[in-house]
Amino acid sequence: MAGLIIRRFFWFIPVLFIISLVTFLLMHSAPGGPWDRDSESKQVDPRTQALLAAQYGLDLPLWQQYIRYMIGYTDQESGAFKCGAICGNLGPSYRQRGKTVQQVMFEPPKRENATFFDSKFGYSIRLGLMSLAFALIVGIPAGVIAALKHNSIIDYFVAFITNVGVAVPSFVVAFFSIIIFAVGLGLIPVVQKNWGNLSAWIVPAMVFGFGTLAQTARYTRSSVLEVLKQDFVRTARAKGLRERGVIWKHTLRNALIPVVTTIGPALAALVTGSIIIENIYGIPGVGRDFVVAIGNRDYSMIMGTTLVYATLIVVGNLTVDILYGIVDPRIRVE
Amino acid sequence: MAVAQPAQQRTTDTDRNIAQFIDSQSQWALAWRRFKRNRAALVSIFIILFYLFVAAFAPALASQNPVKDNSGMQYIPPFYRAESPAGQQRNPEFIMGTDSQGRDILSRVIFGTRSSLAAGVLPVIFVLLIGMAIGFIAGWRGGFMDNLLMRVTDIFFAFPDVLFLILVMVTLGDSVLGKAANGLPLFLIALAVVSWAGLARLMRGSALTLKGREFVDAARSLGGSTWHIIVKHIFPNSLGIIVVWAAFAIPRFIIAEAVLGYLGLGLRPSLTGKEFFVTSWGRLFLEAYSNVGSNPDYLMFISLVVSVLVIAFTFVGDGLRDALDPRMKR
Repeated sequence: MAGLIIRRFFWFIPVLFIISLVTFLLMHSAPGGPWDRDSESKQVDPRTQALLAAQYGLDLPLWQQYIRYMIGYTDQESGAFKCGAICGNLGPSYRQRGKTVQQVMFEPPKRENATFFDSKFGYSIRLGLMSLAFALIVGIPAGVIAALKHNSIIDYFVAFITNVGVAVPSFVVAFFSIIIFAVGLGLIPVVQKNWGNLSAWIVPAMVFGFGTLAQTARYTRSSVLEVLKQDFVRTARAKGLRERGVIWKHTLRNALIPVVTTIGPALAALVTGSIIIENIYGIPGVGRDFVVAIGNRDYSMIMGTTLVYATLIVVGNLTVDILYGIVDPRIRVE
Repeated sequence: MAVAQPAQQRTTDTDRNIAQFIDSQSQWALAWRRFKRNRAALVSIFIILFYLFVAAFAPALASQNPVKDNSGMQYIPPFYRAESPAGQQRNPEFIMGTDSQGRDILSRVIFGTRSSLAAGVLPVIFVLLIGMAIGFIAGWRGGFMDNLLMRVTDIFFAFPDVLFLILVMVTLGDSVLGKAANGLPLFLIALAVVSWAGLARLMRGSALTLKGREFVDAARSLGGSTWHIIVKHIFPNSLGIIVVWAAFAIPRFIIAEAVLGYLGLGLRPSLTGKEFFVTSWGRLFLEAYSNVGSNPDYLMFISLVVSVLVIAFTFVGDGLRDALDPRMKR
């Protein structure tokens, strides 16, 4: 097991390199650069552009630029080696001047009591965490009740809701939520401006967590049904345990282990999948910035975001494999 | 007891009919029988057929020109509402009302069906070709080839797909591929690139299981070539998995187009209305959401239209999965 984890871990490096290379080539294949497409139509004059390009190394051949970004470069003036993305240095943002990409993404704004959760990435994490919390708090009990009341009206109701939740993506559910809660009932503004308020997050988190909720409920239900069929549950009943003891001590304890293993990967999926939800509700997270960054040709911002997301996905995938192996040694890979 | 009677006498007409009946049931006929029992899936098939019909005959069904601006007729409410928040009265000519430029919403949605169905169904062909080829080769050959192909699959599996789609549509949107046929070819290729990895894994698993089965051994010992075995034995026996995968993939692809369109990056809108793909649901989402205050019914309508189709495909997928592999039934 340890060997597998280590091998998979080293495999991360080429994976991330290739993803970054593809991203790099794609974004450089687009016409224009970071300084010739100012949204306020303030064109930077060509000489300044050339100077800026030289300063950031954008006049170098592409392969040198790639190495400079990923591995590092030697500073001309001081002669010191500046480490690149492999050291976690995601480069200076070309559009948000004076800030590095990691500062744009991870640094909280300069105000009192600002924590990591107030940074761009923190907003995306916060949305992911809240959605996950909602999905688990509602999904697990729903799945358990559906399984315990197998083939009852409650079971069918849960099945219906989960079918819809799995089928309809959050993208569409978000629009329904806006029609109902914002336009129809007027409970939330269409464009939320104050994200410091916890109540502002309720609707986006519920909408975004709905799909995960449905999957969790489905998974919990089938897991509980599976355990209820096991011999040890029959034994527990046969020896005269109270039904409550059978359910809590014997069934749920075993049935919920596989459900718990899905939490980590689900969070990774929620954080990386939040681009659209952030765009629809106007949540100032990483996802919303990414779309803007491509339009602006903010190269380091595009690379940095892709690398952070890809790392999250790779780690998420690995956790699934490891946790599955721990829960059920029979399906351990290799 | 059976020994006492000659076998001939026991075989009545009914028995013979039953025997015939059972013999005539192929694996697919049995699956169809199981599928028919799933009422939700059956209804969903008709819903999908209806959407296909709308897509095919869009020009005949649309009562108005989908790209014609009608000045002074903006934000007309749908038939069930007397007045829109923008203050327009309803108009029987525009059943579902008009958008911010006075274009007929129903006609636009009808034409959007065409692009969105194409965007959902056509990538499936690309993905199938790549995914099956790589999965079968990896599973069949095993060893080094398997290792190499699966590591490549890992890379594509780790790709943040929405980021990649956005990146491709922005950076290559003005290239030849991005401009041809309203950008559909570019969208197809980009979607295929991020989607094949999952199918390749499924196909590899299927090839690995089938490789050890007796009928494959038999075919091989009779001198069947690799190609023959893959086409005649591995592929037909993987068809169930493929069909179920496709049924779940199509709604995902439709939503992918809608998401990109919503960001203004999906299929290009047509200005003349003469192209085959005039507009797509993604773009309609963008238009409807930007004017949600003036005509919320537009957003409601397009959301419902898309939801119904997506749910229908998922129900068909569920039905197919249960019908083709009863062991997988929940």
